[in-house]
Amino acid sequence: MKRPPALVIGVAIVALWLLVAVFAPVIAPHDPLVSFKPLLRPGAAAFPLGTDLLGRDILSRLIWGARPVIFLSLAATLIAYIIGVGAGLLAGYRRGVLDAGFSFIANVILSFPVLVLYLVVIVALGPSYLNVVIAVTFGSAPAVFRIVRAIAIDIAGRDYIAAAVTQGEPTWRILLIEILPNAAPALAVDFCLRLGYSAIIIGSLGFLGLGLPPPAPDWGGMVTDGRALAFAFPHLVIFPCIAISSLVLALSLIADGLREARQ
Amino acid sequence: MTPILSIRNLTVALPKGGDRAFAVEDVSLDLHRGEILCVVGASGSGKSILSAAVMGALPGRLAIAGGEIRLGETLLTGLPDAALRRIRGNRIAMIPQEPIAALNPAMTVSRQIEEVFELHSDLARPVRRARARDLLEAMHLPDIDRVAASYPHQLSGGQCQRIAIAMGLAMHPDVLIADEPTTALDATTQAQILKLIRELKATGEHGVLFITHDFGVVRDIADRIAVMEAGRIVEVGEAARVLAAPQHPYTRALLAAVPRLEARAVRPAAEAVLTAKGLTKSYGAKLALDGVDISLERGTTLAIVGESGSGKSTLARLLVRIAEPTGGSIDVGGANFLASRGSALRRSRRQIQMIFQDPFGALNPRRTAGDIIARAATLGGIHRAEAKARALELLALVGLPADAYDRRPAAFSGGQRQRIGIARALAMAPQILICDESVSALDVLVQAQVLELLADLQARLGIAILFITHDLRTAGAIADRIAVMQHGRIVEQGDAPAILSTPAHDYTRALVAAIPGLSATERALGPSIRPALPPLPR
Repeated sequence: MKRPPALVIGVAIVALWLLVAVFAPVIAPHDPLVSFKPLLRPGAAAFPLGTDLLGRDILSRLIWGARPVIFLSLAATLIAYIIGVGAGLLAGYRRGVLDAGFSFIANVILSFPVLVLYLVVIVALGPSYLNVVIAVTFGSAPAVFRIVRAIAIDIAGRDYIAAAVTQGEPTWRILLIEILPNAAPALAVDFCLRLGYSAIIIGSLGFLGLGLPPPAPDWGGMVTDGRALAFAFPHLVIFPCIAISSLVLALSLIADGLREARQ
Repeated sequence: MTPILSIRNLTVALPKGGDRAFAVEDVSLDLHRGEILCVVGASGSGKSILSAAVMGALPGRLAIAGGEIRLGETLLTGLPDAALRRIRGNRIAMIPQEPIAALNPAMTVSRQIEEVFELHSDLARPVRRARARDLLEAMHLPDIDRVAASYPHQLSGGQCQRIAIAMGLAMHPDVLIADEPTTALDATTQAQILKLIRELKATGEHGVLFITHDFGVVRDIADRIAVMEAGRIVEVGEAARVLAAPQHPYTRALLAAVPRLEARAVRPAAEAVLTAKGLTKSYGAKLALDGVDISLERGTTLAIVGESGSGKSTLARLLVRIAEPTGGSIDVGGANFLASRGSALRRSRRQIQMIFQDPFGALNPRRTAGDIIARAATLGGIHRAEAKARALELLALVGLPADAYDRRPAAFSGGQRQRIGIARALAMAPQILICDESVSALDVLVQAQVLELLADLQARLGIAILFITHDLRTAGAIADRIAVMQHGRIVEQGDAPAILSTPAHDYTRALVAAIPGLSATERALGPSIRPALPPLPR
């Protein structure tokens, strides 16, 4: 099968960021927490992207900052998928009271503006890696649930599910072997998009000061720190913004590519 | 007389990597005014591509690779899109296969017909409206005012098809293309639409290109017949000649595969394996099934015959407990099937298996044929280690090669998939098979093979079969007894020969009369009786 170019480009960018995150200690030229001369403009050989207000190397902070964004969004999205897929398959296949209950909970959560929801969770639990994951999972799982439920309702009406029922297949096999693999292609697309949303959310939380506690390197936090001086020293905000955008864009490209490959 | 439509050496190329190079290859046909030319062939023979080519509406990946199509003096091939649009719906019109899907659900019937005049004429609005009304009247639609103001979903399938025909006729087209126009309709409705198309032909105004797979319909309607196989026309000639003395072996095979209206001698009664009493199912206020009593005996076949909406599929779903009845009882092998719950129900399900209508929807596209059958065998009580061997045996039994084991459903044709579905059901070693329109989605040759396979398996294994169908010919070919359903009730039930030759209920008589393409002898004498099958092994 021919690979869509969007898929190839997207995978290449994401793979690059993954490598950067994994090998951050090796490739970062400086310690991201150590101060040198403050507000150096980009271009110097030792500090190619310049330094920030506290004199820390921006390149090194970007490289180290890839870690929390990628691993937290991956963790949050995976957990959201485990919860959403489990509940969605069961609700979509069984329907009835179970479905009504799950759907009600999901709709209540989804009725809050997402950012307010994250604020409430973080403020209640305090900022930390774990709590960022909990907040993002809390916001994503109901959306995943609704997609999976809709697909499960559709597939549950097919004759091969009726055949499995008349053969006496246990419910868990019907869910995991008959329904889930047929939902997988659509879910793979959504997974990539949602991973991108999670990266944006984690960036936004950092920007609002609700992400990782300082002085940890955090792309969203870097934008906040540099915001006041952005007109005089644009490099403070431009590079972290490019980092977030490239990651999210690449994930969207993968999603588009997967969708194209399916057709 | 010069033909109104003339096709010369038409070739349509398929994209590379398909199962053949051309969808339509070197086809030449002439169609005259006042004539119905039937193009007959199995699915995939290229007959629908041929009609799309004439309409200038080939699917995007296909292109005309050679030859020409002429409409009167106009050369259609190579004409720009804008010019083709002026001809479509104007000088050439199409009668669709799915009338309800072909009409706009958000527009009243009258508006849709008026729209045709709007596109192709400069008639004033009141004139357009009056013409639309005249057309509806010509289609013998009842209660014209109500129909004209209705939306498609408020009308029946047959009424929608009449409206689609009215739209086609609006501009007095030279050529009408009817692509399987009655396939989606019930037998009695089909008979009425065929009558209407014959009337249209009698006006001498149009030439009708009629695409169908059904020789019954051909017998009823064709003046000339063209038989297509794998994109080529293998035989073309006067209808009476082709039907009585087919020249090409493929035509002969197709004609031989059409079940004649005949019942076979009834096998002696055995003990009942499935009994349903007073079976009722309601969806809210709507009663889908109303007190149905049936009894199915070991090694015999009971056909349930009815039109769409008669409740026959609901009955099948209740019998295999995919849906629960509102009332009544079901006994399987002497035990109360409805009392069974949980894991006991899962175990007792293996006695009664179902073969579905749509071979494309009945198999999980992500699993291999072997995996599907072997899993059924495991559930049927065979040890996991022996399941693969059993699956291979079953593949051989239903006439599929051993290498089918590792292939997914997409790699099989409709008939082959239906065989996999049968193998899956047999893997459970059931006493009862429920076949819900199991051959109606298949081509006539494949249909005959699957029916033969079922009869053969029944003779060997002593399975009881409940065969649900809308087609009395198929019912006659396979059943010992026939039950006729209408509006959720069984209106008549009895031995197959008696039902077919001397139907007692009005509705049964209407169904028998609506069978397309009954020969004169069949109409005069009723069904003949075939010798009984050999007795069951004990």
